[in-house]
Amino acid sequence: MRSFGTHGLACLDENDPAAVALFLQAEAERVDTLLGTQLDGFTSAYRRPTGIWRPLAAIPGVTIVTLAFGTNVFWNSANSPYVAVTGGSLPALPGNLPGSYHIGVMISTTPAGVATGSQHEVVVNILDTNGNVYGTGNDATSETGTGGEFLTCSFVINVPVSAPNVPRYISATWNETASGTNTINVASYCWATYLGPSIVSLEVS
Amino acid sequence: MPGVTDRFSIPFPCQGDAINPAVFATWTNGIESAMAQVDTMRGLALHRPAASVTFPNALSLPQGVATNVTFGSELFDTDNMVDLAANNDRITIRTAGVYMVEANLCLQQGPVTTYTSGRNAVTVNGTVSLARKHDDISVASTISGILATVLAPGDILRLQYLWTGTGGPASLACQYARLSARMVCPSP
Repeated sequence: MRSFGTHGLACLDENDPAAVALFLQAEAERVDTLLGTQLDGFTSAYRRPTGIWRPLAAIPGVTIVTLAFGTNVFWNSANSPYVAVTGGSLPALPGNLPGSYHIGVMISTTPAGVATGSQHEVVVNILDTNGNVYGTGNDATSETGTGGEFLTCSFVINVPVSAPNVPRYISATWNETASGTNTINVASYCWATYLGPSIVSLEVS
Repeated sequence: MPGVTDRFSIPFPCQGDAINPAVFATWTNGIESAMAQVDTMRGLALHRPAASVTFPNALSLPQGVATNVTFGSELFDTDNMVDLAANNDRITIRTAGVYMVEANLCLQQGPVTTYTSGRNAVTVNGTVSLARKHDDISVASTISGILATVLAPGDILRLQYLWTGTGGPASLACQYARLSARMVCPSP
């Protein structure tokens, strides 16, 4: 029995022309392995690691606060070594995979007092295990009367998870000037989804 | 056929079994079935449920009223999510999962005494899920992001706009709008 090419498909050779049963078994097992690899790849692409989190409860108005997204709304990385977020902790990037992630946040607030002219900002940082900032996205607006604010931001970041001192946590910070006070509603949320592997190439001049 | 493979159960004969055309047919059908499973997942990975609608249908947005935008043109639809003849204000989810949306709206600038704020929102079954508030009438409002809930078949997405101001006019015209949705991943 011989095998051919990069896929290693089986083939009878001149020394075993009668070994048809053995050939059919070898070919079936090789095809089974090859198609299994393809199916795993497509399944992984279809079910890309994704997480969505909300605050545990409304957050009273303060001028600056790091938001604890403690309620896990969705998490599909069952095989990830990172556990789903637990109460009060920062969400971990789903998947534990090196590559590009799309990360975002929406903040919904209810004004607690007269706040016209107050400046509001949400800043999203990706932190490594030592708390160092790896990447940042933000959105800002000024208070415009009653009715509360809605801020959103999203950004794409490359995460070399396999490197030492890796980034892997999502930290969102709310800032506002002291003239305004907003309660951050539980309708606020943040999310992250794995886009796929990325290759960082060195530019040669 | 006493033997089958581990993953796809492709049948094969063992030593001593009679080999005839029927054996080859069964073996070939087993491989065909395995390839069909891979083809199905490949199709799902490459062609996620997605839809996009655009262009307002002569829409007037009254001051102080959260108004659902109506659409007149379908840009693409891979999962029968849009039926503008029946309902021109929505994208209807057909496949359960987590969805990324984008909503874009631009007002036709006119004589507004005082434009206080505008809120561009995507609603799920009438409840605001993703929104962005701004205070500049001259800037098109665009929001994009994953929705906060796992959507189920029949869930309805709409683009809703709310503006406030004083001194008139009573309503503003929508110059351009677009609502898009694309599945990120299926429900577990």
